[in-house]
Amino acid sequence: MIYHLISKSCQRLNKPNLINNLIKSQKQSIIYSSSSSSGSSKFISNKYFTTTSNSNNNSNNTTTTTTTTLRQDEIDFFNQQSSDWWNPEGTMKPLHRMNPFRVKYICDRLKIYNEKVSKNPIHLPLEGLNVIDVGCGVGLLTESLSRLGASKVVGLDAAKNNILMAISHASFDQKLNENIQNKSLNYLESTIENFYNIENDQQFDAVCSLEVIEHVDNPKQFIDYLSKIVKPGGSIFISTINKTFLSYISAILGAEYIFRMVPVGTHHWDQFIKPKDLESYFDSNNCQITDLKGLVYNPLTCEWDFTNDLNVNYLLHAIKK
Amino acid sequence: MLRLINKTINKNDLIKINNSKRFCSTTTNSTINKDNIYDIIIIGGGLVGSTMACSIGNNNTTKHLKVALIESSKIQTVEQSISNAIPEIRTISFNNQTIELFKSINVWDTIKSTKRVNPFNQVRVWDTSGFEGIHFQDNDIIDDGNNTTAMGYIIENNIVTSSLLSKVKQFENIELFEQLSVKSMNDYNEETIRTTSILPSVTLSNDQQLHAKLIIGADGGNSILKKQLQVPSIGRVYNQKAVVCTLKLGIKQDNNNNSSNNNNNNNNTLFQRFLPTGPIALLPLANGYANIIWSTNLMHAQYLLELDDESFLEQVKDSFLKSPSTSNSSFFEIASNLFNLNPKGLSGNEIYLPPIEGLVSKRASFPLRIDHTFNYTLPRVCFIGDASHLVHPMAGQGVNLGMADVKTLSSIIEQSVQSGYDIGDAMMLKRFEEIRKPENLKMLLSIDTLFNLFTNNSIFVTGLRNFGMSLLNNISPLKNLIIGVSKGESILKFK
Repeated sequence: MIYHLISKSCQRLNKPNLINNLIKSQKQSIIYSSSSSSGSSKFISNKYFTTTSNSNNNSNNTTTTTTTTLRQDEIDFFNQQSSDWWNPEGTMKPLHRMNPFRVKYICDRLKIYNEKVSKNPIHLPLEGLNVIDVGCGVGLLTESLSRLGASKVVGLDAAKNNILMAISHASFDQKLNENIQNKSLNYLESTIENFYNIENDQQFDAVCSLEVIEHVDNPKQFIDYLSKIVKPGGSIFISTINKTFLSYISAILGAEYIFRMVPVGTHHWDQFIKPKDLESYFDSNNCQITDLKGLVYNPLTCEWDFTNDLNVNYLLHAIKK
Repeated sequence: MLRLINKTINKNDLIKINNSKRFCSTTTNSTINKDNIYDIIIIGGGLVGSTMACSIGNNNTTKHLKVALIESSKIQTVEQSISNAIPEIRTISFNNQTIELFKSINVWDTIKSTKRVNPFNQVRVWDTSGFEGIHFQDNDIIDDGNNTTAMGYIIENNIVTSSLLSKVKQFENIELFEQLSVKSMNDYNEETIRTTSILPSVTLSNDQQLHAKLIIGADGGNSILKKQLQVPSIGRVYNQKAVVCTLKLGIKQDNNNNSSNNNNNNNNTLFQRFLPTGPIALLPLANGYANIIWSTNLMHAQYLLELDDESFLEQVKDSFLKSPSTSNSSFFEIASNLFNLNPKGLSGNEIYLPPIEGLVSKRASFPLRIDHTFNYTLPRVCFIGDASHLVHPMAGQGVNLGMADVKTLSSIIEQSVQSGYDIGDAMMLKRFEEIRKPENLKMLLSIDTLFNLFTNNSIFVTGLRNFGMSLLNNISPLKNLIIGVSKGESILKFK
């Protein structure tokens, strides 16, 4: 049934390469479910599928249900992007280049606020931590978090193709392969609200949702859910794009239309969020922003760097009281 | 595609079978077990390879990585390397950046303790046109133990290598494979490495098989790894050979400069003269020795190698001090007067060369070429140093470029560990290439251009060259800039 669904969606996308990739990832996910016990197959079963996964017919679903934070067209868009996502020189190049910086930021911040992290060995700073990556895409950040030793990592994404690609890619790496087998690394196809409704006992030391909230329809509700799954004293990391004139120039005009760094339609300026708004959302959930840091991209050298200017890309760290 | 997957699965099964075989058969060489899987294999324990190993072992973030360093020759101890009072024939000019790197990995003290380190703070460059040439002079050498300000240091290759390798032996996670070379790369396939969890492996000359997440090729200009992987590169052969030897210098009779503090060790000037056949350089060594590197055409090199010691020395002195020949240059003189190319009418004898006492080594030679590899990285493979870029030795920058590679690659590996990346991650290695390739190419092209400029004897080019040199010699900010570059400092800083 899953296979049928994918081939259907691929025909729609008219991308011959994609279908091959997906058959491959499909095949591999089957290998997982058969090689490990029923526990692992749970994650690729329909349990976590949202109502939105049968995408063709019910695109109006999102507007009628109040609990959904995601828009269907966003999910569709990222379903299309998944095949090229893991290509470090492809359409997601800026994101690939950003990843080492944001991982380092997360570790550095956790070192200050989490006693475990400060005592862990340098190369395994996240040992003993439960971490979730909400909107994990194809697992860029999730893989890093898993390699850094987190005892449990959950990668959550509403786009099914992303999850299949993420599982497939993890199998290229022996360490991650082991982590999937012993369930310290899990990929789930789900929205945050579905995840919370089904597993509401999950309490994470760190909740990461990087470059996600600008694709979410109801950011306030999204933050509400993030705060619900984090432990008291735990950390929430958000990175997104500010809603400023400069961000329109650089993230939409520059990145999508002039430099063609990312596909047109990746971002919608009206969905960008000001740090002030995020602060008020966090406040109402008893969370406090402890740090805000700007990130700046140089399209010529393809390198990111930290800055104090929050006008375009920024990262924030919040603590639940 | 499905077939491909099946194939991969089969391969995985095969490994399992191999593993199970281990328990019933005695031939365990081809099996994968924890013992022969390394994080990093460094091929080549020369200057660049052993610095790479030290750099990984000395960094708190990367010291947990399991490293194999493979060196084909026998490794000397530091004591062995200084047992002969006469310096080795292969000497290297290290710039300050490289010295900083040695300090940061804690080997500089070992190297210095051999007392075979010679700083230089003056460079004299001139040619055969009778022109005064160019004189770079940095501040006096101030050595207060920690900070030495010299333009660079001339040290024997084997002293530095043995100091580095003795340091390598102190790291518990670095394993040294001595007198072993790489026999094969075991069907290395880019596609398989990129899209499966299979790690590349090398078979050593003793049939031992090692697997690694990252294989670093630091095995020099004739890299075996590069040949095995059929990595394409471009370059050219200069049709030149460098003739090298060691000299003992006499004591200077410098009466004019009695007040100088370091009268005993006044051997701090590097001389280089561009002859029509190629550059000859005298590199000052510690304890009154010097190294000659004479690049010349193949015939002349052969002739120089066959001469007896005395005639050879005569040739060396001549080549440094002989006045420019005026036989064929009536036109040159006209041009010279017209453009005032040689305002002081110098012959070249004014260049003060220390007296040469005698030859203390055999003469050796090596062919000269320029070579550059387009891809510094393949999946889980990375080339550093001469393996990816080979230059003419006239600027003494080859090893220093390799050391800059080491610095960048170790910081990339450090970042990979910190940000939870596989150390063989393609994007991270690509970043290494992006940082180093422009720098290396810049230097390669500058040196190649210099070579073409100085081996050209046409009046136009000599005129231009000398005009340029006289400009250089008289504009001190520009000269300081060049001194900076030769010290390895970057002129343009973006940040």
